[in-house]
This record gives sequence, structure tokens and C-alpha cells, in this order.
Amino acid sequence: MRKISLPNIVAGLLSLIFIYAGTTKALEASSFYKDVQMYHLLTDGTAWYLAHYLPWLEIVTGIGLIVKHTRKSACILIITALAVFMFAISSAWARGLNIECGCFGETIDHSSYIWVLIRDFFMLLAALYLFGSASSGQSSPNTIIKSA
Amino acid sequence: MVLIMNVIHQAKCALLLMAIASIPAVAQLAMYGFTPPTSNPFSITMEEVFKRSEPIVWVDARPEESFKEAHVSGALNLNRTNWDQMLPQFFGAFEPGKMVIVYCSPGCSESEEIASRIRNLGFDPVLFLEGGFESWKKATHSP
Repeated sequence: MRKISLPNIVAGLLSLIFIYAGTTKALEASSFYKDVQMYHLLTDGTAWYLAHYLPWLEIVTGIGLIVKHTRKSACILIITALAVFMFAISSAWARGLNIECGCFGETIDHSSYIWVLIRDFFMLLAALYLFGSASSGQSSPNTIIKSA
Repeated sequence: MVLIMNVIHQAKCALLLMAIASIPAVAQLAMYGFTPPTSNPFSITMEEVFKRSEPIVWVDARPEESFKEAHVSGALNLNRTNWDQMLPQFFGAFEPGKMVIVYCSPGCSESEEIASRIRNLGFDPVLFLEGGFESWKKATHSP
């Protein structure tokens, strides 16, 4: 039985965001590599591997969110990834770097640091909510429609 | 006990997702190479230009027609065709402590060649701009 509930809607939206972000970066991995380098946090070799791995991890966790059995694990990965993104962005901001966040690959994203942090914070809240709702193991009181 | 089992199960699932993600990543690395491309030591990006504090002598290595349409403010048009004719003007514009950045159109090779020619005359630092004139326009016209 599939339920259209608040957790499922949140999981669907978060999943779309991560699959989109991962796909745009995976298609332009060389460009994403330059974005990662601009943070000046990693060596070139590590940045190269991360630039090729992170997009696929985003896609897989995005898919993992919509699969019931892997949702909780996907949430753990997303919470960790968002915490790392927020640290990297805050660090770039604190060091006065003027860089693109590289969040959505080649898509021009001139968002300010504060906006990127707010956006990541809300996604972090959504992931925490999903983790909590998956942990409770109870049927959601927010069920809107039930279909067999 | 149930909690520990649950944590182990979630950790296993997370590792499985990470392992699945590594399959296409390794395939992509096999396509593009397992080592990062080495960047040209004489190239510079606009992001790096913004971080530099020294005054810049901009050299536009594009044809005269493109230069007349638009160019970096204060740039000198020095290319293969007018090299001998414009070189004295470059000598006049350069002073010790200034950095020379040569640009052309995106994907062209003139900036690299002109930068190399200027370096061979004993000037330093002389770099060429990655992404050419378009990268300058993009960087300076961003909202």
C-alpha cells in the first residue's frame, strides 16, 4: 500500500533536488572539479576523485530516499553531506573567497553564501525530519490520500 | 540490543549506497583518467585574477576587428599580425611590478603564443587567461 503522506512528499522533493544536483555535476565533472578546487580545502588528486564520486553519491542517495528500505540510510548520508557542504561554504566565506558554490554543476548559481547556507539548512531540516519519521516507524498522522 | 542491530543495519545500508555510487564514479574516472589534468603553470583564471593585488597590463591577442568591438578597459591589442608594430606600445605600458595577462577568444591559442613570445623577451610574470575574453565578460558582468 502506497501512502501520499508528508514524509513521502518531503522525500520526493528532496530526492528530486539531489538527483538534479547530482546529474548536472556528473555531466560536467571537469567543471565541478574546478569548483571543488576553488575551495582550497583538498589536494588536486582528492578534489578530482571527489568531483567524480560526489555527483553519483547524490544521485544514488536521491534514489535511496524514495525507496522505503533505504530511506533512513539515505537520510544519514544526506545529513552528513549537507553538514560537510555547509562547513565548506562557511569556510570559503570566512576566508573571503569569491567562488561559485558548484551546488548545481554548470548551472550559473550566483547565490550569495548566506542564501546557499539557508538553502542547505532547510534541506538539512527536511532530511532530519525524514530520518525522525522513518525512525518512529509509525504511520504518519498527515496521511492525505491512501491508495491500494 | 535491537537498537544496536538497527544501527548496524543502517550503517550497512549506507555503505551499500556508497558502494553503488562508486561504480559509475569509477567508470567515469576510467573514461577521463584517474589523475587530475595538470593545469598550465602560465594560465590564470578570472577567480585568481580577482585575488591578485598587483596592477595588470591587459594584452588582447584577438584580431583588430574583435578588439574594436569590445575589449578589457585599457587593454593593448597585440597579436600575431601587428606584433612588430605594437610592441613598442607594450614596452611603454609595462613597468616592473605589473603582471601581464594575455587573452583571446575562448578556445583559441593566440593568447598562449603571445604570452610565450612576451616571456621570451624577458618579461615576468606573463600569463594567459583561461576562458579568454568571455570569461572576463562573465566575471565582470555577473550580478
